[in-house]
Amino acid sequence: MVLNVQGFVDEKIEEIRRIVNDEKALIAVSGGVDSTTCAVLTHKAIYENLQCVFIDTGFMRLGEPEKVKSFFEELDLPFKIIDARERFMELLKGLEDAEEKRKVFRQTFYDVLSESAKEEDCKFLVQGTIAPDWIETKGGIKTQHNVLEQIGINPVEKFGFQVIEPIAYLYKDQVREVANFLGIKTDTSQRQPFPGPGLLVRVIGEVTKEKLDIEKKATEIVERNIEGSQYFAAIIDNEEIENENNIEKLTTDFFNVNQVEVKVPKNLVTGVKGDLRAYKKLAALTIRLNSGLFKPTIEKLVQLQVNIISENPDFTRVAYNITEKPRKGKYIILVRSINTRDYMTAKVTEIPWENLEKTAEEIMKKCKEISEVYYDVTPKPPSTVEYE
Amino acid sequence: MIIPVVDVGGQYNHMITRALTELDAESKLIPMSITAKDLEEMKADGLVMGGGPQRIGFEAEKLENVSKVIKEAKIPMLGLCVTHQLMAVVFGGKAEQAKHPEYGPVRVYVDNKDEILNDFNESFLAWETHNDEVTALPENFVVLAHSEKCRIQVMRHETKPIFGVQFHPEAVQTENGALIFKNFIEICKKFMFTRKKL
Repeated sequence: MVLNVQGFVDEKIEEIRRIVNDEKALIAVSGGVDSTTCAVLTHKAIYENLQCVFIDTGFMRLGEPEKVKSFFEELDLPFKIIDARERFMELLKGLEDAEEKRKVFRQTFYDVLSESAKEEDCKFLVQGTIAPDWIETKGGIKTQHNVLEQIGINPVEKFGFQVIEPIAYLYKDQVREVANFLGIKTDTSQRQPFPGPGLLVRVIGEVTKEKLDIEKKATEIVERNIEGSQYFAAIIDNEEIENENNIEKLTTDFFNVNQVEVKVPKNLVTGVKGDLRAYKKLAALTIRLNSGLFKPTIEKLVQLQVNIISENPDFTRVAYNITEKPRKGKYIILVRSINTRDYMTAKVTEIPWENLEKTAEEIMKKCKEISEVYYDVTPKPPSTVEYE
Repeated sequence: MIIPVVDVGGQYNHMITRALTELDAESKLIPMSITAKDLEEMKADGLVMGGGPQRIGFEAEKLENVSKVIKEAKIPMLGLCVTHQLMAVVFGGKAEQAKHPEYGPVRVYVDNKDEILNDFNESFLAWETHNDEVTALPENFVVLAHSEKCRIQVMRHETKPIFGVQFHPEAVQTENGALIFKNFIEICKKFMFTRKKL
């Protein structure tokens, strides 16, 4: 039997009403489908006893806080923005490790929420946690910012509120069904997911203002040109390390070409191999012919990637150069697009070369300090959707 | 039709319950501490076991309790990924570190059109993520499918409804993956009516 949406909604409204009773509840919203669905659901249960807050972490996309504000005004839900941009940036300074960044983000996120809950006299926090969030956190793949109880953190003791997660057992496509049922606008209910820590996990390694600003520009360009279930840009330092591997040989043999270049950036990226977290290296591949860039099908590149990752246990991702004219620059942009139903496993989207090249060209033109743009050809597994 | 799923800690275990539920079976995750007696009490018609982070090649003892259930449960069983490897070990075969671990899309070839592979094409794209693999088949088991780099992708007991699958039929990218569950449900139904003693 597929999800009975009407039954689910009725049951959850009643459950929220019973738990919250006459108290007040706070919900942290991002404008995405999970938290918006929870906000609408909870509002139907406890009406004006719900307060929606949007934490501006500084890691949102261009114009996003304003968009979310007008969206919630339209939904007619009690809404306020908390500006925590400097606080997040200050605490994340100097951190390079992906999990360290995610953990500091989570702590700061809940500190801000906890203060807000006290101010508003809310004893409950409603969260839009969904199945992949707690599955990945519990399995030690990566720390999602909204998972506490499932890994033994007691929110009442630590932050002073009880957590309610009405959609914790649903997957994205099921949440979308519920959202449609609740009459949430299709541009929200069908919107691509955006991670809780936002662009922080797409600025690979240490986050700086310069990297973050470039990432925001590149994200806008990719979102305009590329399609998929989820599609975005990430930025990584153009700093190579020496590495012994057989990737060049595998590539040469696979395509029967000879101008192969393999770049291994210093910063690591997150993956998952055999249900174990794999925080490992990225192989950035370039193949040139005398006439210019070699442009095989994405399907072929994914097949090559399978061989590379199978034979090189230190690697978890492969990306392919889509820049006709590289130049000197401090950073590399990675373009990613995947197709999936439930975000637990995902295919690489077969974007036409024409679009890839156009996207790379625009990024090279509008973003400074970029040396090259690559397209990520790694499915999930062995990679995760996001880089950190 | 009640088919619980033993949660061995893998990423996709909960998705298996979703796949079974969508095929109208009653399914939920159950912990690794479950016993054959518990299964009897919950009137389970079949048992599916998911994947997990354990390395069966050298730490099968981490799943000692699940091994016991595999030995004692008298209902149709389907082990996926790590529990497919565990089944091999429990029944006297062997699992070891794979020479060529597989992650992501891999082509699987059907060797034997068994009931668990009903309606599958001769070859299909399956989603994989494994560091170890079954390297020696237990006695009384047969290989039903293989891939280029992994000889035993699907196996079954010659006469009993006990099946092991290395790839992940619960991953929606696996071509016709849900068919494995549909076929398994049919096998459980048949078993329910005939009640052959295992």
